Amino acid sequence: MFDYLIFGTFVGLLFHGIHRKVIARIQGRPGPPIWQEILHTLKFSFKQTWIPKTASQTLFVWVVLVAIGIWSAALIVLVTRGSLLLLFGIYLLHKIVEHGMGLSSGSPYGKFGAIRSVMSAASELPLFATVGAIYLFTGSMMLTDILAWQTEHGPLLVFAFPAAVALYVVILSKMHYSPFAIIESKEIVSGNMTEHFGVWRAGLEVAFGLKTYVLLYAFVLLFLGPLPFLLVLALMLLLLLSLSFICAFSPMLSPYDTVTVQSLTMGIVAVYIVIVGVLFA
Amino acid sequence: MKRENALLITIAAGAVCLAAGAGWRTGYLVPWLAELLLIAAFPVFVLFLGLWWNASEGEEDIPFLGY
Amino acid sequence: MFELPVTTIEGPELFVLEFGDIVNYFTVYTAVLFTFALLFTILAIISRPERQVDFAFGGDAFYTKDITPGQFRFQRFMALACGMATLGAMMSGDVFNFTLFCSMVGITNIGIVAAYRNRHVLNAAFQYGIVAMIATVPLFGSAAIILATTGTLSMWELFGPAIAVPLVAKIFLVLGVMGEGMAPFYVAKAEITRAPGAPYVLMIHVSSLLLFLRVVEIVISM
Repeated sequence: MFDYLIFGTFVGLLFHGIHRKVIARIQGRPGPPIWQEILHTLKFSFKQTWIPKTASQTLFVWVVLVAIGIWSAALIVLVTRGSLLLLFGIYLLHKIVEHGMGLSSGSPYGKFGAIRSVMSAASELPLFATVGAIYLFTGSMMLTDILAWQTEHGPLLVFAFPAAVALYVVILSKMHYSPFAIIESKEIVSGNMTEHFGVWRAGLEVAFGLKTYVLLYAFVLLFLGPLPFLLVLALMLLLLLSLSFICAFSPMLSPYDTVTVQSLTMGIVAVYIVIVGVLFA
Repeated sequence: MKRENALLITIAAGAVCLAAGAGWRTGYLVPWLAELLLIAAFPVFVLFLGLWWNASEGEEDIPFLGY
Repeated sequence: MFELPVTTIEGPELFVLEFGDIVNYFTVYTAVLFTFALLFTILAIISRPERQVDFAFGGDAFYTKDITPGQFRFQRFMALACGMATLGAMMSGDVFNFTLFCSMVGITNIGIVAAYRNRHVLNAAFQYGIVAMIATVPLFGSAAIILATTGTLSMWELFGPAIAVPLVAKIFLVLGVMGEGMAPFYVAKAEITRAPGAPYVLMIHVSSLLLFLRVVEIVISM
């Protein structure tokens, strides 16, 4: 299981590197090598580290541990084919980590990032819609049952396409450089990560690498069904490339526009859920 | 943090991670216990590995003119 | 003796705590949420608040706010109470107890920031207080409707296939929790987080998100 975590971390970080490379190539820049994010993480963990004097010290450190912990838990839920509801819960807990990360430092930039993270809570709600739609079709929240349902009936992507779109928007809003990534946009330095440097940042990079891996993996499992692992990896890469294209072509939205777009997505999916619910009832 | 302490904690956490992974695979540990141990030990392992790497080795001196 | 009727949502129950006819329980899902709430409650107890740095825009000056222990004593107390209420809501096996804990979370959330004298913070807290008060109507209304239509408030009965909970009660329950826990009203909450004391202010966020996660489980199971 330890090997899964290590593998997930490295593949996730490699995906981050590919993401940057693709964005750079689309924008006509050479871009960094694809393993740059792995080097980045290693570099950060070699750097001198301390805790800012103004920070709430315990929280400042613990939030990094919690970030790695929750995404390790999420990967374990996926690997052991546990409850989808738990995965959804862990995703929402990530919001608290983002928020705590920014608040704990005392820096105004961190605070701005944290407050933007609070504001964009609408980005989490489409995931609830996805979970609801999947439950309406498969009648179970357990990943084993969802995968079994898909082997029997075919991929959920066909049956619950709007739910897949909702999850896609959720993943997009968590990617670096995405139009919705207002919490780390450059006018507030690095947003809520501003004050986490050195080892703390390396820890966060590990957590974010795991997060990208888990979210892409979950999308493929939930909507395309049980497939051979190499094919799953290839599909995750394809999904990532599509996300990179969107990130490369779209500017970063303003905070209120972000909330509007995400709330609209949520509203559309909610209507879809009601229609499906009525049809199935 | 002292270099030796960081190294000790890294090794301990790494050992717990490895043991939990092995116990889960061979069935010696109950799955939930193995998962819990891994979730608790993995973050500690990652952070303290970094802290061990960057811990000072004693009397570093920064040149007055910078590097 | 007690077995959850539906195990395909969150797995079987792990632990049951009986208080007469009120039966609290843990599943893997609620145990994870409970652990998370416990972790952040402990963090609120042991960590000191941060010292906010403010920039004077247009110049080079910045200053650090000092927070005296007396100032955050009340905040810490309220954060603790909020944590306790969240822990209760996570393991509650009874709809009425759940709604009670929710409203207590709403009250303590205002308490966490209300002691801080800043116009923006107090304004936001006041507005949120109004939302929370209005939300108690659908919150307790849903419990009343559930009791009136099904004759029970115990989740052990309600989760079974034999009892159909009316849709309006479910909608009211979600609306009530949204009002208390502020799930979609975060935009109004943004100003609240101006208040210093990160571990305590974070508790507002922890409690509301965890309440929302729990109510999702309850509504899907019913």
